[in-house]
Amino acid sequence: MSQTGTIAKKDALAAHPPAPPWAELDASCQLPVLYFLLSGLAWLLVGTLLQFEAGIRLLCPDWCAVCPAMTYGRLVPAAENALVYGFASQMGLGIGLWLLVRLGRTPLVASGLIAAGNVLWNLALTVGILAILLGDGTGHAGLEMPAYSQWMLLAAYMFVGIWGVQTWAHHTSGPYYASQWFLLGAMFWFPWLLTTAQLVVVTFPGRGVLPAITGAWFAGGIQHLWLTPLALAAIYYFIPVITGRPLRNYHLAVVAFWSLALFGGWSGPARLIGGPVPAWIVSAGIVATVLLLIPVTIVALNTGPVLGSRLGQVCENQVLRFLAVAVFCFVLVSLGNALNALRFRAAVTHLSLNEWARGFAYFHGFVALTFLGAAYHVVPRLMRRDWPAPRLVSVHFWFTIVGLALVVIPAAVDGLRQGNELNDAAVPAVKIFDQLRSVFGWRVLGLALMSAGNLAFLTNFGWLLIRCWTPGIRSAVALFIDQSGKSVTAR
Amino acid sequence: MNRGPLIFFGILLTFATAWCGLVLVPHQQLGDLAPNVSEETGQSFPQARPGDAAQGARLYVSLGCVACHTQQVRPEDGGGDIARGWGSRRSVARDYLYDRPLQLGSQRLAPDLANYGERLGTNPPPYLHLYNPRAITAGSYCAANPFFFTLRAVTGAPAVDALRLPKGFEVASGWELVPTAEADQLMAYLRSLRFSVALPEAALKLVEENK
Ligand code: HEC
Repeated sequence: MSQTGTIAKKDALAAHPPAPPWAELDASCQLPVLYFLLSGLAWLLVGTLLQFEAGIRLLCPDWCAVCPAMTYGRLVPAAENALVYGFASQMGLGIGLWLLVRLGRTPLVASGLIAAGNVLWNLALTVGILAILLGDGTGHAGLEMPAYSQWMLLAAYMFVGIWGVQTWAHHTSGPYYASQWFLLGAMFWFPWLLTTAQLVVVTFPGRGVLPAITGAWFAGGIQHLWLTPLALAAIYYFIPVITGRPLRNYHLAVVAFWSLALFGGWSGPARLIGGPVPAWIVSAGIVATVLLLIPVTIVALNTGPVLGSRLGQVCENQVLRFLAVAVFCFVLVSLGNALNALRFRAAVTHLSLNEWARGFAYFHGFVALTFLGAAYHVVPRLMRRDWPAPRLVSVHFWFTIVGLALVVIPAAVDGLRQGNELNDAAVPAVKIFDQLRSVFGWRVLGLALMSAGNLAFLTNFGWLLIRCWTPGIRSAVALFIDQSGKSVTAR
Repeated sequence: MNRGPLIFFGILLTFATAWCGLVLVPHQQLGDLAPNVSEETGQSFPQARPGDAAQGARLYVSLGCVACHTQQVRPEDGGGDIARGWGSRRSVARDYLYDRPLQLGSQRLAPDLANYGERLGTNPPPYLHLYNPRAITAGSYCAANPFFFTLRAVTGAPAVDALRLPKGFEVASGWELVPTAEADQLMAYLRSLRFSVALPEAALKLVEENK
């Protein structure tokens, strides 16, 4: 089938008659969306490589020890910030903007300014990551980038957020889709989360444990009011569009949205359990974390039957595969989080590698796989051309899945041992930690596979761009030669 | 749902509840927490760190020691921290009045350091461990910090604070490794980590049998 033929057929499924001018709409957002996706992917590679290097430092702590920029304690926050703000935020925004245009059937407002915001965003982030590696991190959990780069990031976001919400409001026909609620929520919550945290934690920190409480609220917010709704927006669009089947129990989606909005905001302090903060704050966080099972269940009810009835397609379709694993990770990790928020479980798993594994699986399993799958759908439409190397998509998928399993499963399992033994004073601490080294070995191996997978995606992406742009470049070169030829003969 | 303004209002409202509950109210509840003055001894706790320890805290933050080391003692019914001898009572909000930024930590890949100064007692500070943890604990993955030490030729008698390196870690003969001022500051900070002082909200629990 011809490339444009596949795309047109898929678009027809999404279309309500009369078919909107998809090509024009796509063209309106091509530059910023492409830019966000490409820089997001680059940051994913950077972040995974930093995590990989951090893993190496655990296995060979004396290698490169003279260089403080490569010390474990700096690599870890640098990687986290690169992944959250560089990769997930940018990919999520890129896909979100594309969805706003498609669902609203309205061109993107001020796409040039949004692209400018993207440039500023990457600049802010580069400065922030380098600052962490060079020792200028703030030391506030989750907000390690120095104030100057965070404010720059916020300014950059304003370019995107303001025009994004404008595009949302230009929505032309019919009721708003679930994806649109999630996108509006995320785009509104993010700047408030970041501004509050910047002011109260970094710029004018309160006394004692106050920054930790606000920081926990912020961390919960970034997870459930920013990354999760961005990812769910994609899931609620792509699964019905690609399978060609409506979501089941779609009327419940509105409950999912409002319960996520409410409990997501309150869930953060569950991560302070056992910590030196007033008990009611932690209890509120625990209750909210358990109640987050409401939106999770609804997402499962909405998407599960559709995916289940199209298992053959799920196994074959390049995009659906990613999304199906993402939904699976979302449900599984959320269940684990709810269970381990309970005090009797938290006594074992809190602060252990089991908790770390759940965070990793939520990010790299749910959030990242959603965006990666969505990007595989969006980019060919923006460029009006299919992926040059479909094999590389499979390579990316399998490397990522196997890598993910190698990182998460040993850590989750051995984390339980770690937690149990730490609570048993008869086991010497040094022995407990020493045994974690096999987990670190699996982690390094898994991260190497994941990095290779991301490299496959970047290769495919670059290849596609070169193919699309060669005619343009060729004619430009021809023109140049022609012109210079003329000027030579003129002499 | 097809009313834009209504959706927007709901989004604002749900956010505002958590914002008030988790940002505003805690600031009112804890905003004016003050050090406790003991009735028996008249001493106030906690106390601000002296200059070199405060400098050391900066180094601790900058190097990200918190990626592996927590600084929090969980209550007895919430984990085995006290039984393990990491503290004689749970940590409470007041203990951290002068910690900025907080280094509570979210990963325990290493021993908790909330009361490290207490554990250290009158022993010499762990300079050798700072230089290379493997010189003390074989196989440890604790980060080495050789950049806190200067390698220099011995002139006359060896310096009193020169590292006594065990076998396998020696430097060439005629040379010695001496701690920089920064190493001293980090040690002062580690020594300052202690909160074995009873507070009205948290009594001490004696765990001699476990020590
Ligand atoms: C990669 C994880 C990691 C990082 C980062 C790390 N440590 Fe450690 N640390 C450990 C482990 C594991 C142990 C236990 C084994 C040992 O004693 O070496 C330990 C032990 C210690 C001890 C001895 C604790 C005791 O109870 O005897 C001190 C002191 C210490 N580390 C200080 C630091 C300082 C200061 C930093 C920051 C410069 C730091 N550590 C960074 C993993 C780490």
